Amino acid sequence: MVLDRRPDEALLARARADEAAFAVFYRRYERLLMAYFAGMVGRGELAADLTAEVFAEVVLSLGRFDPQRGSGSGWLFGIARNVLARSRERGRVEDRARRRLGLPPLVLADETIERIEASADDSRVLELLAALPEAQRIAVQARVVEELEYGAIARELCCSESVVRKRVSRGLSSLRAQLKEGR
Amino acid sequence: MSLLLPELEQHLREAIRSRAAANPAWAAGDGPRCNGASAHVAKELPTLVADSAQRASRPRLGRRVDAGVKALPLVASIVVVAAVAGLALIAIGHRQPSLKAGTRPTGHRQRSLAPRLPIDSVLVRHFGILRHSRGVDFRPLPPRDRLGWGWGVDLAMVRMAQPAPGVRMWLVPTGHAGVCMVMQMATLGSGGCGTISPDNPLNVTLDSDSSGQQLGGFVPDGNPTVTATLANRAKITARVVDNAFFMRAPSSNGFVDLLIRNFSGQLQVVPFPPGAEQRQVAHHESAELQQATKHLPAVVPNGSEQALFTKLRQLRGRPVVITSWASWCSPCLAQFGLIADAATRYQRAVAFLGADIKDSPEAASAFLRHHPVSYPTYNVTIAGLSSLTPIEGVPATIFINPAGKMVYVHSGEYESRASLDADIERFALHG
Repeated sequence: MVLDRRPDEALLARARADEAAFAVFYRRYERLLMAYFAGMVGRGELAADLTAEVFAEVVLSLGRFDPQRGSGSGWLFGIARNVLARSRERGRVEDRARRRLGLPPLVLADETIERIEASADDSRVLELLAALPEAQRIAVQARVVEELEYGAIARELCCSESVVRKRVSRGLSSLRAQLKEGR
Repeated sequence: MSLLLPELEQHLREAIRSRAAANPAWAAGDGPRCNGASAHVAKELPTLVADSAQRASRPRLGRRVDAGVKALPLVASIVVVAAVAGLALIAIGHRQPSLKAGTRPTGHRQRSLAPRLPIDSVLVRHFGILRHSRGVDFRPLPPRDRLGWGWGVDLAMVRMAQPAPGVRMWLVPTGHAGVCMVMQMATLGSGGCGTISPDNPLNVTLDSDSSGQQLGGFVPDGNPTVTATLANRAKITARVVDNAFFMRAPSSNGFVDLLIRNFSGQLQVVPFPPGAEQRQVAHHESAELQQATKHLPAVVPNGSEQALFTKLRQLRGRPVVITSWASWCSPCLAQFGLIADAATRYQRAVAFLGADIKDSPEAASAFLRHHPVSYPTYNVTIAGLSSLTPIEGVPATIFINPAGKMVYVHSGEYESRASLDADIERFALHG
């Protein structure tokens, strides 16, 4: 799914009529959003609830997304910031969108909560990863996060292995440099 | 990488599914309206096909008589008399229905009495997979969104049960049992959405070269092509292959939604009249027709790497666009329609060449049979092509200016006609 090369905007445009397009979008941002919330609130359960609320809000608002006004990821994180702000204001995690969609409450295993909380450490890296040029982001994500073989990535992306290696290398260099700058 | 909350993904997908089912308008949304409408139609389709099959299983005359008897026996008698009169008029060639797209055809009721041309079979291509079916058993494939915008149906072919030289076909809805042909040009930006309705009929002049005569302002050469324009200016090109009606609706990205449903007894055919109206339409479109007929599809690779280089030498002094592709390459498939469309539009102004990379001849031939292009294509290696100019992979599009200089390589697929055209203009024509 990570290798799906359709841009976020295209996925969001199709998502109302095509749940698979939404699934690609979800998988692309679930971990990143979770890491963002885990970094902000520090607790795995809250991060999971906030993430669920944001994606539920995304589903409800699909008709309002306008690619002319900004990117899909920008829109997603705009919703995330709003959900977080409203939740803080009320002192509890908002659940309006989930109730409207009739989503059942999340049941989280301890292990999942730990993984979510651990992802907070990755939030900065994931943020930088999301900011990489698309070709590099896909290559780095596929190789480093998904741990796919170079050959498999090359076949999927219709390019040579050396091109994939180059993209991964450049992407990692860029991440390294930016992390150093941030210290 | 496993998901942290896979069950959340499932719940959200179910929510989308149930919302779309409960409210098709929501699924249609404000985005590309065609997609939503297409989803709606696809959902209806099994029922409609079943209805159609049920109707087809009953004798047509019996249905009419049943209805007539129930309604008004006298009217039924009048209808039968009118039918005989209508057929007689057709036989002596006195009827000339309007050809103007976008206007309700005059004499609609009379045309329903015209002889019908039985449909033998329907062939639909969906993301390169051909599906063949007969009569009302036709069903579109479920939508997949892997290779491009839209739903991936890019052509449909209707094969007649008998030869149909020199006929005019009208695909128009006629109420509950009418032809329901929903054509959607699923594009972002340009293009349009054409839903064929009584007020927006699709009028296609179907020429055949079986007579060997010049029809409609061009000389049929085995694959005559005609163009129909809907009221909303969406264009459809149709090509006669053997005895079939080959339809392809170009869009900015080469993919369109083309759903055809309920074929049973719906195509109405009237004799081809040599009227002035016909000549006027043919004259208007003759230039486009002639261009289209010059580009016969390439269905097998035209040679090896050396043949490509020889061709390039022959083309020196002309702008050239080399498009690399492979049958296993999804992005190549996604942009195939765009390149083919550009090759037809630019005609002799720009020479297009295909470079098939790392393909077996069988796979390439199979691919080209399903994705015919008007330009020659050659089996090459990446190393061979890179001897011209370094490329990263496929698809890559190489632009050569009239001076014979490689001026630009576009890596990856083109996603819009505008971006491809811009590069052709900038690098091939004026590089």
